[in-house]
Amino acid sequence: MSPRGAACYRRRVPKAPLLAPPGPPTISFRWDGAPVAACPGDTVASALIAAGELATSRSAKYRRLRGPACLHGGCGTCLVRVDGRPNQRACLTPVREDMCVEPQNTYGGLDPTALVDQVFRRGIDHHHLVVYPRIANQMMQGVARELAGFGELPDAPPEDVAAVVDHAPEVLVIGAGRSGRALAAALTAAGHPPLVVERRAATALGGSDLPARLLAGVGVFACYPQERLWAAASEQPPVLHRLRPRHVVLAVGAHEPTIPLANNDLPGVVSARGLADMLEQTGRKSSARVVVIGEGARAELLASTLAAERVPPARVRKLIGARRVKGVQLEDGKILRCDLVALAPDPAPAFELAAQAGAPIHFTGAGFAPVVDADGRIAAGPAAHPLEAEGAQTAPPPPWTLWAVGELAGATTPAEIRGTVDRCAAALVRALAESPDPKDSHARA
Amino acid sequence: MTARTFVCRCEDVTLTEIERAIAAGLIDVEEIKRYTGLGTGPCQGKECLSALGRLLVARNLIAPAALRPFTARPPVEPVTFAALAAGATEHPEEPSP
Amino acid sequence: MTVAMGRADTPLPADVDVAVIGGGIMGLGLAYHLALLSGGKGKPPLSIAVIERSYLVSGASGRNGGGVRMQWGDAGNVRLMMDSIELCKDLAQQLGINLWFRQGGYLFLARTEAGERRLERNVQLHGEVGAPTRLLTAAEAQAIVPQLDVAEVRLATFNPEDGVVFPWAFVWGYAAKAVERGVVLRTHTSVVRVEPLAQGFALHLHTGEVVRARRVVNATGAWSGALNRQLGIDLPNRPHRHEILSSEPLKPFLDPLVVDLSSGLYFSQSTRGELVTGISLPDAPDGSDESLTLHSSLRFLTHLSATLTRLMPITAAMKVLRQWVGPYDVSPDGDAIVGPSPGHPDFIQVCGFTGHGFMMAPAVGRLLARWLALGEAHPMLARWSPGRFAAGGVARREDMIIG
Ligand SMILES: Cc1cc2nc3c(=O)[nH]c(=O)nc-3n(C[C@H](O)[C@H](O)[C@H](O)COP(=O)(O)OP(=O)(O)OC[C@H]3O[C@@H](n4cnc5c(N)ncnc54)[C@H](O)[C@@H]3O)c2cc1C
Ligand code: FES
Repeated sequence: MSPRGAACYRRRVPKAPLLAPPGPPTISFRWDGAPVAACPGDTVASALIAAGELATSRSAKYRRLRGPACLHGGCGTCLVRVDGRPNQRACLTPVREDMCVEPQNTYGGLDPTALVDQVFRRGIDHHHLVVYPRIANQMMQGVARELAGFGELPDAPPEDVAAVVDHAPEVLVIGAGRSGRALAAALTAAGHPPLVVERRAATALGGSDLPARLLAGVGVFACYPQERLWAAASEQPPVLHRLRPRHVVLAVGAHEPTIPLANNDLPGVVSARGLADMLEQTGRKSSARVVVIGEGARAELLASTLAAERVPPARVRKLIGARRVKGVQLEDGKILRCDLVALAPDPAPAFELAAQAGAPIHFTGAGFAPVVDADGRIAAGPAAHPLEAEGAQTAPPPPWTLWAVGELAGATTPAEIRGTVDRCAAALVRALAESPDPKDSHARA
Repeated sequence: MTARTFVCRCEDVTLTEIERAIAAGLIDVEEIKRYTGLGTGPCQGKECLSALGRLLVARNLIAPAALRPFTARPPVEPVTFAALAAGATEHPEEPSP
Repeated sequence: MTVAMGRADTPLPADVDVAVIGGGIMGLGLAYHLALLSGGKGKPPLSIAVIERSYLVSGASGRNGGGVRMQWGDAGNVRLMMDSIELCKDLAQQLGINLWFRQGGYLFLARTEAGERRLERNVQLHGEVGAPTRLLTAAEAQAIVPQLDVAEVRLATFNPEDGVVFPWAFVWGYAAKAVERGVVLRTHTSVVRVEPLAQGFALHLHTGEVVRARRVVNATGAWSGALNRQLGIDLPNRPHRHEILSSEPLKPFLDPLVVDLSSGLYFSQSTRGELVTGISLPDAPDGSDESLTLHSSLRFLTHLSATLTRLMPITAAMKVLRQWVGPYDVSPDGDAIVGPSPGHPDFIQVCGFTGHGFMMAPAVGRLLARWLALGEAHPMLARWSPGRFAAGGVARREDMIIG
């Protein structure tokens, strides 16, 4: 029987629920063969965590149980199989009645972690693992190949017909989070409604301030300065969007990096920010014992939002638990029991698109960020690749002006975020007034 | 305890493995990425790159001003071949000037 | 186990017997084999230095698809690759590092009559040389890769000895073993000027250091023209950007590397489970050194995706994880450029390997080292002579170059 098949027939013990629903659940979907109740605002991840189902896969090398962590589309360990499609991000996938969600790479509940921990106490050096003799080496490679890979081939190619759409907006705003929405509102008020592109589905956005021109469920995946366009796509239906804007505002926020602590990968170790946002979006209330690990005002704030105890990382010896996190052991030996550990690191700006657009990138102490001026303007040109020949032909300057707001522009508190939005909106409106769009941007979009 | 302290969960890269790479003389993020596999999984470095940067700076292996990220390769998030195929023209157009 | 992958602060001797410029697979494979031969048969040991501008695996050797095959259209190349694959079989044990060499075969698909004829000729030729390639019908090809849409496939060939590798580990393995045997490996250092001396050359480094070498090997691949021009060596190889991508990793589903002859599409599955795939862009311009740019393009993604999803429809629901670019070092007649340079016999080329230098490197490193250290001839060396272009009228022998 295939590992997936085996998992589908497994009898499962219901876990204690961790997050209370905002109202009676009206949706039911299948997780690993068993029904899970959910509410309309839920993502697969929020519904699973609510139900106490924290593990969704096993890791490739150490065979550790893993589950949703960043709750923000950024970490890649919440990948599940949904209706025969592998590697769907549970934290970005809205729940639908009757959907079939399956774990990946788990081999029907076999638990090899203890064995791996025993044999590879000091870790696995995959470059020098079982190199000799040749026959053993070949066997090892065969086993490694079977264990690697997240998920199996899709059941079928997508049914929807793929399409391509071109857009030429005057202003493109990437991201409909707090800063993207505020900026869109300011520009709209000034008579320049921007096109806003957001990778989360519209149902997962909530709020009453959604921009008028919004492409939701569409992720901007690259800037190609040499081709003078930005590219975005949705998965279902498969649509490619080519965007040729005059101004681009990056409102893409920040990633929540991990904090290197022993056992920081256990299911139930999540991002504090991701958890707080998830509760806000779904209207769920946490009934779990949560410990926040982090330092500074932001961690403090998140801990109070989550009604959690907070400890600084330096005081933590390790996280404890086997199939899920059970507690935090402190350096003095004391153990804080909990159901979830919420990490509150300093966020790392999502600099990737800016870098592709040629922005100079620097290290902020927490992560990497583009260099911006007071208005959020980024002086970006097509940067020569370090390995390119000297004097390589560089493309002409890009046809857009690049801006950043919010966390990407260095803001951390709501007031600072608001400040970056106000300054950027004012500067953008001035720039638009100085060089109006030759064509009607609405007609072109 | 560093053998189960994860810096990159996608590719199961632990602090021990990073330390092994550093001991081998690697301090450039591009080299550490390639030797350990860090940042090459589904998240493409969103979770681990800054953690690695902090670690190198904290250990005085590189000055913060000299630290650069590894190349932010497209796509910044996974995209299906189906959607991409829709953008093909029979004869791929010349790159714009 | 420690690894020696070169350092920016490795002390360099002022004088060496052989200086290799470029720490890609060619430079390091050669240095490793030279070090193995050095001091043998009553000869004094050679002092060898390798100088690499960036980190190891920064060049084409760190950016390729890792395909290894003996399915070529010319007997010389088939024999060379049979040697190389033989060497690969226990190379992991010799280098003490996992190379993830997996012999899943190469499956070539022909969709045109011309392609069909090429494959038929190959099988005949391979039979004569002793390579186990066989002809397959479309249905037999589909039995090997069930997800293929073979409606347009007229004929296929399969060789089970072909396969894929994890390229980076070769470079690290050669480096570590070369260093263990006394080779000096300096990384993050570029050779900015080559000055001919009465005996040998002086290499001026960007650090201000100077290394004198009796013989110099130009193993800088796509960047070799810049150094050659300094010595007035005029060779016709040119850099050419080649794009490639990998998908999200999935459980093993694809054993061979598949090549569609008509479109130049190739794809294989790595040990980690990623689909690694590239294609030739029909109208990609030939570059000069000056136009070697390494930017990724949407044009490549869309063209590849359309071709791939037509041939292998299930891939439509898979996702691209990462795309990148590397330089091909294209030689106009499809043959590599290896040996003494015209006018500078002690400046030795090992360049022009287009899109297949990685798989040839194990055999090339060995045969070139034997020639350098022992004066031993090899039939391919005559064919690869850098002097052949000046003589004019070089015939193109190979038509199985992909990408
Ligand atoms: C996308 C792609 C896919 C490919 N697929 C395959 C495949 O499937 N199978 C296969 O066999 N081959 C493949 N190839 C080809 C293969 O990668 C190359 O032929 C091979 O790696 C060439 O090795 P090299 O050592 O000559 O070059 P490189 O690896 O490029 O090494 C040259 C080195 O020289 C250094 N250098 C340059 N100038 C200087 C200087 N002045 N001073 C010091 N150092 C300098 C560079 O930094 C570089 O590291 C592919 C290539 C590409 C780009
Ligand atoms: S990507 Fe979904 S939890 Fe991180």
